Amino acid sequence: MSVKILLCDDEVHIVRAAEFKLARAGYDVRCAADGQEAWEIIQQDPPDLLITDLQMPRLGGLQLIERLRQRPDTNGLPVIVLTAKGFELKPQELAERWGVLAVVGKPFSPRELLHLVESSVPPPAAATTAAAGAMPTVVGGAPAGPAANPTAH
Amino acid sequence: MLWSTAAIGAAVALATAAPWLATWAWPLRFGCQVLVIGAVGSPLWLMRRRASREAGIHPSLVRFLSVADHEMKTPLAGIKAYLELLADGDADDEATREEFLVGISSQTERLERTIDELLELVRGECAAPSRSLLEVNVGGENCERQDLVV
Repeated sequence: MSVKILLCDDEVHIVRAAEFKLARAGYDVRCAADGQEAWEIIQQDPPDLLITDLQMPRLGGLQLIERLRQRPDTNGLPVIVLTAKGFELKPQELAERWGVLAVVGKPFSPRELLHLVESSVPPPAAATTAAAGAMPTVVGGAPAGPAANPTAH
Repeated sequence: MLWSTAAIGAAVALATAAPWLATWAWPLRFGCQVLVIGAVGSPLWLMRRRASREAGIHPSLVRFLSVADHEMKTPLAGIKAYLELLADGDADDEATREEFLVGISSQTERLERTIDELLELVRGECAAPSRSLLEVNVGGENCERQDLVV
């Protein structure tokens, strides 16, 4: 069983580029155009990792994460935030309050995003459905790799 | 700077540590106290005012910068991501390469439009200062006003 990644962003080109890179690496990537669509997908078939934008129509990324954290069956889902609002965010607060693994600022590098994903979930071939058990530790609350500097767009 | 420091020091000495001053000298002592308060208080007040000006960025400016930042970074993200995929040789077939190039093109045009709109806004504000929402200091070549409004 492959690792399931849910990509949530209302920008089609960003979704396409990230999806292409992750799928090419062997991950089972699904896409949602906003938080509401992502929430519906998660309820039907929980992914092993969620990568989400924050500013989206219908349901924003933080509202989506808040919903996830309120439900016992989804509160352990690892989340990476992919956003152009990096300079307004405090990765430490996102990690502590929302359990966000990392914040990746846009413009982003698909290569670095893939590295971050590889360090956050098991390799594509070794997937299990126990995503929560595979949740990596947030290093110092500050995201590693590209998330370490969300303002370095 | 040296002079003012010396003057303040002398005033402090006279105002606070001069019990030897005769009764008749109280106006001098009082004057020194006023001088000390003025000399120390004025710069502090000015510094605080300057700090609040610098730190207290107008909420409208923050909102404007936030929107402009987001609107420019979003298409740039698509361009950068597609370029990296192409440069890394991830696009194996011609159709995918074409798709990414079309994406780069559309996002470049979007970015160009956003920049044009921002420039148009700035030009409009230069020409029509009455549409003031927020004062910012901009030293642009095409704008004679220092207090540009956005």
